[in-house]
Amino acid sequence: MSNQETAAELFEAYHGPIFAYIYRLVNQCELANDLTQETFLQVVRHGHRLPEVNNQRAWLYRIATNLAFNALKRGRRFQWLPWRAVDGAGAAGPDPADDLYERDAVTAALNTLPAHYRAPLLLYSRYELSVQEIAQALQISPAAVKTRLHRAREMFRQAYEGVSE
Amino acid sequence: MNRHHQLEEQLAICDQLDAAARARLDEHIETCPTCRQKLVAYRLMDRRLAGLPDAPPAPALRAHFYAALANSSAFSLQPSAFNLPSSAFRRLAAFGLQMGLLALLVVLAWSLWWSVPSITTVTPEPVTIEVPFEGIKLLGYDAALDPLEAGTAVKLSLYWMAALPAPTILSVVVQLVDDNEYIIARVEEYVELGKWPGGVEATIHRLVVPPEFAGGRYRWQVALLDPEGDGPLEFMAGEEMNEGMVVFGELVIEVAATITPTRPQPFTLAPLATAAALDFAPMWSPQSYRMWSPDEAWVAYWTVLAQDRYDYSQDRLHFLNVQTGQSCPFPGTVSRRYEAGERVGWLDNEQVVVFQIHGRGWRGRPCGREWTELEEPLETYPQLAGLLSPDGRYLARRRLSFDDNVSSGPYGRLQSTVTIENQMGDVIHGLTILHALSYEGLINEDGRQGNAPEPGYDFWLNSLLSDQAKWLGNDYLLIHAMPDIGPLLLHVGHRNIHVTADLFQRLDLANDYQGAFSPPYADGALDPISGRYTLLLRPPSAQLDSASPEGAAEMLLYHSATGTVELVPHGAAVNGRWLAIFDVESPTSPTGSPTYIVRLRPLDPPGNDNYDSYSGPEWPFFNADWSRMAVVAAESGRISLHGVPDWALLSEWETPGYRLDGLRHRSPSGRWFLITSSERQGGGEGLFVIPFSDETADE
Repeated sequence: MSNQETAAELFEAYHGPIFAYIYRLVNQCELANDLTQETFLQVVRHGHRLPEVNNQRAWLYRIATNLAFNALKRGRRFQWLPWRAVDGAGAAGPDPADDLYERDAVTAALNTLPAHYRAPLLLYSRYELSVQEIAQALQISPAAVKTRLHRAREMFRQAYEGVSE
Repeated sequence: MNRHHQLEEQLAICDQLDAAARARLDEHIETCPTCRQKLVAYRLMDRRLAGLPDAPPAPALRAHFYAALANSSAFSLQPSAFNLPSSAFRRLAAFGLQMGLLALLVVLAWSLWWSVPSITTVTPEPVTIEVPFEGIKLLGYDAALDPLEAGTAVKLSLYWMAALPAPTILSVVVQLVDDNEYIIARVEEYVELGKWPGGVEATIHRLVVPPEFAGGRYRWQVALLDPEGDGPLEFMAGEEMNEGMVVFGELVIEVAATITPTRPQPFTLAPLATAAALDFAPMWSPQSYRMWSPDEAWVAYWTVLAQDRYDYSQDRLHFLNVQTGQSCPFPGTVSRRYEAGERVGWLDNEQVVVFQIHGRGWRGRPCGREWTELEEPLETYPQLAGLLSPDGRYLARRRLSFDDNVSSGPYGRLQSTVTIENQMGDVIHGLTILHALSYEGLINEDGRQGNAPEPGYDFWLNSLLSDQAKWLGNDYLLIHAMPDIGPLLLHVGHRNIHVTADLFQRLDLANDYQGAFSPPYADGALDPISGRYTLLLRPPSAQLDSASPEGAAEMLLYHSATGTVELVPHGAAVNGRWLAIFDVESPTSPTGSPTYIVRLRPLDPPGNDNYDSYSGPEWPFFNADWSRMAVVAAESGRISLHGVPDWALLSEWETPGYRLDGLRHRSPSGRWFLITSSERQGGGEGLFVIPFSDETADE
């Protein structure tokens, strides 16, 4: 099977959850679409590694995580202005786009977590990856996964209590 | 870490513990109310997170991915033949087979004849045909053709209605075939159908009938094929259908033989303005577009009275009506010094604002007597401080502010804010960027250079200039290169912004970017018909190497329709439908002259090699839509206007007594082409105005 064929099969099997995962990390729909496409194109580009990959799902999440983290890293250098803000003078009104998301306290709480805590929590609780798979996806040790998950849970719990009050 | 903390950490993954570890944890939980409480909270958390609705990907993601996959050989810069995955191919093949079978039923849907003997003028006569096919209907066509003769371009508008589950990229083939089914002209272009279910979508196709063909009757065929089919398909109209292609019908047209054009007699051109020296913001300075009134009837220029062209002390600003030749001087003193293009701005077709370098400004009519000194700052005139979208609905502006707290010697920090405002002045979109700034290029009010700026000292910094950004249609604002960030594309209707820098990242050019002299640069263009945009991305290495074309890096061409990227040579330019590659061939002998080459090809499909080439002893200049091209022969004083891409000579002018070695400039829409020319007998310079569009060329 060629790299393209493999990429197409993986795309058909995983593009939905990979998109949703990336979207939860970057919170930008268009960017998430781009990164999802890029995740599967990386399969073609790095296809020579395929024989070494024993868990394709974890590998995909690893690529997706790296791409999302890179995008977030670049994103820190600039800041989007809120909708309907007036000249950055602090007179910003409510953001209707944000309102939609903030109705969901879970999402709001999740969004307060830094990406490197949000990622393991999502992979564990939402996408049901094992600790080993998360370790592969995030390129950290299983012990580090446990530590991060514990901290992520605590951060989420506090944030959720905060936003749902 | 004590036992409690060890076990507390395991709470986070209690579902995946092995039996022994789980037993130890359960034992601890029995005696530890804190952990018990946490476990309940974590389980609830898992349920909440598991119940999160997954946002669906964009419907077009699949089409974009497969298009990108098909181009993955270009994308990954590896020469590899593309084979569709077997499962995907099976689906597409089945799709194609259905298309083919249906095609047999719908072939020969229309056949129309025109019988004008030599040159056929096809009356613009939209027809209504309905060819149902898998949710796609070709409703009709608009054959608003020029007289059709060999060597000329033919334009065909097709009107579709598509009800598809998702926008789908397909290929439209338009071709002319003779009685022996020999294809004499063919164009194949990607179209995305199904973007507006139930709505009419138009695609426009243009093909050139090769000049070497004799006159005769040819059949014009329109077909649709699935670009993700198994490789290129042959076109076998009316006979055997190949998979993935449906022929909507054919139309018989008559093509006249090439008529050898009689060389147009050159017009004699007289300068519209003369002086010892003339100046206007040159063509390569996009700010110079501000010198034109919106209707392009007036343009501002300077006469230089000082002996030295770079002595600005005796500059005089003038306004020239390029239609009537009327020219009037501005009564005050305004020099070209620093950003000459920013000294003038038009409020409308009649009112112009003139600014001195620091602050003072006047408002009046180009040839009026009343000039009113302005009391208000530049920001009062948003059309001067920002870029209006073509439809005038949105205004893009930039604000800069200096952070004095981090100012250190010749460096400081700058907050750059780009906003898009609607007509009510509301900021609907924007971003702020913090970046380090060298004061080296800043000139203070007292003329000193390289110091921290004084607050509000330099208004032009606060404007968004047309060399920094441009609108691609009415929806996208492209910022060519933001410091530290690279190019950005802002979409008015979306909260999220597509960051074109990601493209560099994708192509593993991040390392190239980091540590490079300046961020990558992007230019772009929008096809107003399809709404698709194309970005031409120049990596930093290309900038660094630009002085040596031989070693210059290639540029990246991004197609939004397919999400694909291809490499194109350095020296490329795009206009929405065409890609041009500018190149210079060195002379073969020491006394020879270089040859300037322009290779032109349709942008779609990505990676195509359908180039038409022009070569000549001078650089040509295109008009706005690249339908015309001017060539200026400096020494002979001749200016010729050619069609594109057939390069046919359309008009020619001569400027007796002048040498065309001066500045060149094109009006914003490309209607006019300006050139200053030195008088052969040393008497001074003249300003020539050349009509540069279909409309004006015929006048």
